[in-house]
Amino acid sequence: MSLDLLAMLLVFGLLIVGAGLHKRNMERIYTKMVALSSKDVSKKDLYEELSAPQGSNFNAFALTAWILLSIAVAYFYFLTPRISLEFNYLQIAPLAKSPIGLVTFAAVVAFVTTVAIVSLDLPKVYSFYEMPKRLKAAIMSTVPVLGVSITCSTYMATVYPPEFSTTFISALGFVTLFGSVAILLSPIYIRAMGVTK
Amino acid sequence: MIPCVVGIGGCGGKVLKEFLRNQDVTIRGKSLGEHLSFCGIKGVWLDSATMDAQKENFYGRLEDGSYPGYLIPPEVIKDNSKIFDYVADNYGYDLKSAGFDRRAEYLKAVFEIFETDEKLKDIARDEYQGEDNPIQAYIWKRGIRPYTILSLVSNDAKEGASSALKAQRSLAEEPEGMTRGDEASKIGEVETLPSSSEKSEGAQSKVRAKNPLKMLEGLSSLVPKKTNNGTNGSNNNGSAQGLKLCDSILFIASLGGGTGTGFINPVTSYVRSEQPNFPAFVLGVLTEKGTDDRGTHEGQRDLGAVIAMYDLLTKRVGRGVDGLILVDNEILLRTFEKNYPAINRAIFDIMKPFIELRNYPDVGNQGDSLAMKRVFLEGLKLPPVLVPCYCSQKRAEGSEGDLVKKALYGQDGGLKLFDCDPKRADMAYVFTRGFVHTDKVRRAVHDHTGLPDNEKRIMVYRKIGDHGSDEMLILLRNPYGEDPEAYKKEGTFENRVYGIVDKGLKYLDEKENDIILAGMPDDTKIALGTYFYGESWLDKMLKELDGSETNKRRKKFKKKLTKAKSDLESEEVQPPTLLGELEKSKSRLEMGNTPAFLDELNIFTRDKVVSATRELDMAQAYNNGESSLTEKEIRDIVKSEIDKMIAAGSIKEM
Amino acid sequence: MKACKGLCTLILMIFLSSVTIVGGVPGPAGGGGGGDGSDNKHGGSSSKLTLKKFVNYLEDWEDEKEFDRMKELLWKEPWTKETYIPPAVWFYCSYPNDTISRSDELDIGAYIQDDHNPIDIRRVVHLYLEVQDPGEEEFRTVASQKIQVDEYDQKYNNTQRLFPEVRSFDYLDRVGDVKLRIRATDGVSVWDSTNRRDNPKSGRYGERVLTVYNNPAKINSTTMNIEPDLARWDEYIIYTFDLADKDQDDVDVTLHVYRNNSVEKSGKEGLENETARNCTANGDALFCISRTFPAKREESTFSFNVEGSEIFDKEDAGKNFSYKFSCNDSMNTTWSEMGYGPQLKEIAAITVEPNDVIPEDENCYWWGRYSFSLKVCSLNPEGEDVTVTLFTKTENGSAKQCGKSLTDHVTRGNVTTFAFKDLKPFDVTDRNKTFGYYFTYDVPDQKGDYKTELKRGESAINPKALEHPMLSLVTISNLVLIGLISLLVGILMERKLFRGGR
Repeated sequence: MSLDLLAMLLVFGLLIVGAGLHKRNMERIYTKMVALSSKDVSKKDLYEELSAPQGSNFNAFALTAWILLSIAVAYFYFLTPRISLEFNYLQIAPLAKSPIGLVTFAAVVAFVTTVAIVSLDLPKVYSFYEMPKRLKAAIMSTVPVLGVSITCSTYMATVYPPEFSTTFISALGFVTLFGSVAILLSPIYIRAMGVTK
Repeated sequence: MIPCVVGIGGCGGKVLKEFLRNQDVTIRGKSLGEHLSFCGIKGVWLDSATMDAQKENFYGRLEDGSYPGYLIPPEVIKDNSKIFDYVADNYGYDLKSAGFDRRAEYLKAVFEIFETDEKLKDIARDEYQGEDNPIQAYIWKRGIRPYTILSLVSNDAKEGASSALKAQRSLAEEPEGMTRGDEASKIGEVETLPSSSEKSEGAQSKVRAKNPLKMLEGLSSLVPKKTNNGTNGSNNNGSAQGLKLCDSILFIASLGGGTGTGFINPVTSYVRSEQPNFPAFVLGVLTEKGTDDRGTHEGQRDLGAVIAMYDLLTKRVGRGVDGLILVDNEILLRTFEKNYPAINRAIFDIMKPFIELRNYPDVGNQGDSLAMKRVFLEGLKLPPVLVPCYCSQKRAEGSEGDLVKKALYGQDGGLKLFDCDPKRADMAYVFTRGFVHTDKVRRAVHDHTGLPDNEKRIMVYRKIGDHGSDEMLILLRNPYGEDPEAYKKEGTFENRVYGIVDKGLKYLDEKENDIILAGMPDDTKIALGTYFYGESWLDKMLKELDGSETNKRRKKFKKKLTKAKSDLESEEVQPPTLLGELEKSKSRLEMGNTPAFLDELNIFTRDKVVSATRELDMAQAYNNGESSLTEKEIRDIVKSEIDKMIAAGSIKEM
Repeated sequence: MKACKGLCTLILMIFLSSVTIVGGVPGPAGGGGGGDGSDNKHGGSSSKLTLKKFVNYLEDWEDEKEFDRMKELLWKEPWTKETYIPPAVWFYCSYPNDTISRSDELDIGAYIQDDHNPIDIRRVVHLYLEVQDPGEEEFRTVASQKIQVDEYDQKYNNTQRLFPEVRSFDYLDRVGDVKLRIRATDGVSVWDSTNRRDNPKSGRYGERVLTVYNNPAKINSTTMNIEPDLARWDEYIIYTFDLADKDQDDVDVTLHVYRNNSVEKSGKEGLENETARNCTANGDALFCISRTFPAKREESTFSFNVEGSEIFDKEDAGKNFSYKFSCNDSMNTTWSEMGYGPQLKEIAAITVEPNDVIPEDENCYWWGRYSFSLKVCSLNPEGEDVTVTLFTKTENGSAKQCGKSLTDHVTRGNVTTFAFKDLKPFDVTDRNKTFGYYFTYDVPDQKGDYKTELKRGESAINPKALEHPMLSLVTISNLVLIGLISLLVGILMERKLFRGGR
């Protein structure tokens, strides 16, 4: 398996595991609540009680971060033929030769992500987790970090085919991407580790 | 419950800051949305020292549209105000003093003047468009009311008394099964009261029957302007659509501090005039021992603390606050090694279970403010003392007993914030955040307090908390009494209160000249003298003035003193004095009687208050079949009841 | 009699003396060679055999029972010539079938049995293989052999001799029955095998009749090829085919060329009825050429070189033709399937010469501009109106027209350049690929074609993918826009939809 494919699996693995852990967290809380309650507890009511607003700034930046994350993933893996020779940005001639091709590509990805975010009600997910301000600040700070990842991926595309000297840039792009995913999902992982205790 | 937290003075402001700390991450102080505080609580800081307030970066001027904001109540008094002149001339009090007089009775006196002086009221109405108590009105209408559900009231005076009756009935019934929102809207509906909910003194504010918002606008110089300091300004106008509004008030003040608690009772009375049942609680931080950082003598602070506690705890149910949560700063300083930011943070953390909004889904509207008020006051005529005991620990199975024990005894990370013996409490209110079993909690509390293991005496309010830890706040109601020796024992409530009463008395005794200042007008001196000391002070003054008939002023003063003495002597029942009441408190503590403080004291209208002591005596005599009531006593009792009914809106004064 | 006796004795003595020279004669006592030379009667010690000793031996052996046998061996009674009988002769052939092709191999020989004549009186027998070819009445001798007197098997008194000269009937030029027999003579008598009784099991025949058939030569139609398929009317065309003949005859192969009057693609129908031109061998074809090829048993490739044959003339330019082969191995004629070709090009109207492509940037980026040109000259005095179109092609891709077609009037003697300037023929997907280009035109060129050959670019297209580098206004603007759009969407979603989570 190539290193790039492995890296992609790591990122998507983290996301999928995070989703699974979130579901598990909710289930565990529900189970505990049912055990402690004298009446029937509906999940809807519980989740309604459980959620606490995290603030407009945080939400806005978190949403921005997730949009940028999807763009960063798309850029890192599909801007150049890193994973697939056929399915990559450089194969879409109208985009690749257009001066606004990069932003168009990003806009499409952003649109799809926005739809997903609205469907999944992402801020609601965060509202279930108690987050100290430092953690919120860390999550918000993934916005510029993801910007670094996107910039690295763009650089890789501009110099494509890659040379040895671009290995560092590629690694930086991945590290910032992976780190951002980890930070964005950290409330879920922290809660999962806490609840299991 | 969503309290509007009112921080009073320096201590109140600092603690309030923790409550109002923005949960959101701001960027250079800017925020896209509203200021987001814990559980959406709102708050305002009241201070009297403008310089102190301006130093605080966290708060901005509420008048400028900042939120969180501070109010300097004296600012409502205009520079060329007639009432300012009137009060200064007649009572010797400076209403626009830049830093409040640190005398404990100052604010009490000032607000009493506004309550009792009809001429001053007329002047105030003329000057402040119908408002006879501008400072109170300003604090309430500008600083607090906009954040409460009362701001949703349509205030259509034509609704009439019928709606008022409905309001009273529905509030009293507190139907179960209502959601928070329903409760709020219900209160909002019934708040179509006209101002028939006037004060117990019978003063009918006809103008108040009109639209309060119009009255607010009348204070035109104080209408807020929207600013661009990072908020959308909607917080400055709490009646904005869709905001979570507060359904109660939580005052935070230091007992014995400078600005002090003098605001609390007047504001609460003002609230009661609009909504008699609107819950109001106090978190009082008792001053520490020794000299404080500002160099104020312990005796002075203790006197101030005692006066503050006294005033809060002697205002009858329905007229004063609904509970005093006592915190001893001495314990906090010792626990946190004088780390004031940590202390402030700790107070907030301790109160989190109390104000947490996220209930267990199966308990419905357990923690709404009216319900809390009802349970706090159950079986009482006077507001209770509530001692907070707190503990937080990592979540573990079967930790309920542990939490209770640590909290009640203040061990191993637990905090008991005022000395007391848990076994003396007559009720316990347990607020938890986390995953706990009600039965286990109740059983543990029963084990350590001796209270019956049932939901009538041990109430458990479970809320959803942080992940990984369980928190518990136990409020012990009136944890003292029935032990005559308790006042001698370290670590008891009696001992601590006895100590400050004793020191207060000593200060009263030693520092008379600091309490009753020489430059005051005679009437004020006499009022203060009789308030603090009673007839003995009059005698003392008369004695000092012997031989000074040639001095016109002293002669005039002597005449007034003589008159006052004769008025006193003509009273069938001697009005209580502070000195006397404090001595009685000591006696009660020594005998193990409750409550510690009994009779409400006024400075300028002392004869109007029905002595609670007398009530007790009469009740006892009646039970024993020993004596009958005098005519005057009967008249006073009937009048008192009528006043209560008028205050409740059951009847309307013609 | 005496002479024979004496001769035998002489031979014996010579033999014995040679034995003596070698190592002496081992006597009964077992002595070896090198004896002491004493005349011991029974000795073995004397190495030299004398006549006296020999006689003594003979006298000693007289009573032995093998003595008569020895005598018989040493002496044969002479036979008189009046008792000689010629040996019996058969024709020998082990081939199992009665039919045989011309190229099948078989063993043919003679078998002789001489029971009557002892070796002493036997005579040398001369054997002759006689064959009667198909259609012939007389036998003819095709091979001979000689049997010496001592070549008979001593036990069975027979012998067999093959005729290696005759291994098959490939020499025959006709098919039919072939008779074979053996004629013998010993110098005195002449006889043959005709009347002998056949013994097929052992392959002996008095006279054998074999029916010989022919394997015709065949051309494998699938191997028929014509090069070039598209040719000028005066061009050198080669027809190749694979030919096989089991009989390995020299085969006369005739090429028959036909003109396709029909424009149908299959064009197979009715061609055989087309009239030929200049064809003497076959009146149906347009043209016939015959060559003789030495066919082998396995298929071998042969070619027809029609150079100089002038199959086509100018009038044939632009027409299509087809062809067939016929094979004749002098006994049978076979035909191949119809082959198609050549297609003759039109007669050139212009001459063309494509120029090298000129890239705008020597790095040959895909987004760069390239200029192509074609030099054209008319061959007609009146000149030609020519429309030229440029096509480009990258590896593994299909040809794409590049730019618009150009039309101009070209004259004889002047070179007209059709220039396709500053075109962008490539796409981002063409990066790192080699490319070629060609021109098409609406009149035939010097080769009779309507397009040039694919001319390859000197170098591959640069593999660089994005036109704008990282530190360029375009790229930086894109990145900034991405950030701004994301932030804007995030803020809008928050303000309009989520509102802090309330």
